Amino acid sequence: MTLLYCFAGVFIGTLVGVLPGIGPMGAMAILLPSTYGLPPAASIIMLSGIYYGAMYGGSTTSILVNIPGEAASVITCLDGYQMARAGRAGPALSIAAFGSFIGGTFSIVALQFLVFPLSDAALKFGPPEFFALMCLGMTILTYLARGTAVDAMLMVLLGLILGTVGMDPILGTPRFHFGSTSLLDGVGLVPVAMGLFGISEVLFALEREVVRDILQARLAKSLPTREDWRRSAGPIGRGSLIGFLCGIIPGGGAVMSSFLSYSIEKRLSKRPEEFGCGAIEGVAGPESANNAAAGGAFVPMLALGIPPSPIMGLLLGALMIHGVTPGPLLISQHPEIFWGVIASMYIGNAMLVLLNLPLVGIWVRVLRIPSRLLLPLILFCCLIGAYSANNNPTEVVIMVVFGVVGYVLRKLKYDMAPLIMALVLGPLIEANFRNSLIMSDGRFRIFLQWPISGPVLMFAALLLVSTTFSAYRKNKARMDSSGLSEDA
Amino acid sequence: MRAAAFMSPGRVVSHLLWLVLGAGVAIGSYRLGLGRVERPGPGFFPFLLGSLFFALALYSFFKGLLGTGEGEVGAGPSLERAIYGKLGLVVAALLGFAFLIEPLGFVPTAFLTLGILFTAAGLRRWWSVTLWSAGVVTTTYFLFTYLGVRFPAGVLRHLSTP
Repeated sequence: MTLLYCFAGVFIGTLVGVLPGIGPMGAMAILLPSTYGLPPAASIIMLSGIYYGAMYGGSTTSILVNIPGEAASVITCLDGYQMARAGRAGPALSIAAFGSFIGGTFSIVALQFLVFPLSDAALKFGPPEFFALMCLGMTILTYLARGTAVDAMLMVLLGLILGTVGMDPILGTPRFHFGSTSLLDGVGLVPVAMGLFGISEVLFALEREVVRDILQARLAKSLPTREDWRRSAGPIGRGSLIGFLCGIIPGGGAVMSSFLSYSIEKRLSKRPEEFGCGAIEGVAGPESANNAAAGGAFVPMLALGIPPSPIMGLLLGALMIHGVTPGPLLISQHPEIFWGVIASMYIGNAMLVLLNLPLVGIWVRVLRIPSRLLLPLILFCCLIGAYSANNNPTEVVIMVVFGVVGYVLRKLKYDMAPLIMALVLGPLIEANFRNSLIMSDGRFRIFLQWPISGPVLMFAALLLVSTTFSAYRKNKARMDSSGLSEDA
Repeated sequence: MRAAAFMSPGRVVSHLLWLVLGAGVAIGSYRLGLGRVERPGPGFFPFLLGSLFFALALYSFFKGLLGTGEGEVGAGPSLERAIYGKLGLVVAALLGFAFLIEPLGFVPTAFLTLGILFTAAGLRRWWSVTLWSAGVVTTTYFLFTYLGVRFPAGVLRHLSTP
């Protein structure tokens, strides 16, 4: 049965990755209610499968249609599509699939080496250390978020405020529920995530009709040549390492890893002028990196209980809904979840290579489904998902409200990733903050202790200052240049 | 001479809303009780958040108004009225599903909702809309019932009782 859930997850993930519009975040949010009846391990295996399946699937649309299926595949469009136009779609798809497999496998192996010492170290952490690490995660996310630093900070604070709705995590006092019994449990991660990433995405897509010009992949010549492999070996190796490390860093993730890998390969290449015109290194490196990042992201989530990205935040939320708290004690208290996830990642990676190459024709047909059929179906899935979680129409209303909010925020160029991360981590941050103050009898210097909470918080503060300072310098340069042009 | 204020109307409205939200959260938290620093009350953390949020929103608002902000420049997002109408119809259909599913029941509510959604998405022919809506409702009903999800019967329960 677990294999079936793994297959379902990777299949749905590939489908989601292939279809532009709904990303892995939206798909995971929509499918989260359907996992309530499953055991926790099966639920996480299926949701994880969606995540790394989407990384694989996104490359298919990038190469064949020049439209990235999801954000981490944007960079693959640059060279992958050019290879397809030159009649080399088959080798591009193959290298993307094999590179993703190697990157994913590397990250699973590295994850096992890193998670145990990290968990052992984390057993010595107390509330001040966890508070400091979560604040650092939020700060890095602010630093790397799209848009301005101030807007990102507003989104973080908004998410933290939303996290205070419901029962106080320490004293159990109801807060900001406005008399509604539905809100006593909080606004709910699932309807908010489905609204922000599912409904708002579809509302955006409804604005315009996207014309997709799909290149036919000649599968007769689908395998890479020996020269292709020689040129791809280095980028795949480097991309795997870069992706894994980016995945661990809070705020890093698959998108950053793919861009970083591309930049490095272009810099290292003896033929940098070929990049953007069909260089196979431009496909091999980023695709390995984004799959390796998917695996790397599990390290802090499983070992520390701190999600490094919004998608991991959703997985963390899913585990907590099932009554499992990821962190240093996860391996000892729920070994079936930990080892189940590891095993499914190995098997899932193998399944994905089989799904992506021979079935590319099916994915191309899926791409041809018109949006006037697809978008209503996605919205309907969101409605069913939100209602069926607790048979509560209020959650549907919350989802729709946040769908509209998400749509408006995106129009105003706010990044929603910090909001959802803060919503997931908010109750944990508050509990650790207040427990630290209780432990120290109200002395704030508990947060400045060495060797962990003090340096971590100082680093976070430096990052915030540097973010603000670089924004100030950008503004000053803009004001100075506009002043000069008016004087001229 | 400095350039005029740059913030779009949408961002002005959003910042005013942020100010109201921040102030509301801070005041509401204060009423919940801040406790003492060594024993923080239920309002302690949200009060800090609300106050920070208000301060940051105020800072960003004035920076934008004075034209020194980093935010969006220009007239801001604009859409044709027809698009707003389409999106409004979709949102109304989604909310209608929430309010009608229990009194009316899943099948009629889902059928109506899908009909509106398909029409808003661009499916023109009435028989195409009807067929697709009926097909999706039927498939969904049987699939989710098989998976153990119970949908409200609504008016169909009254029709089936003698």
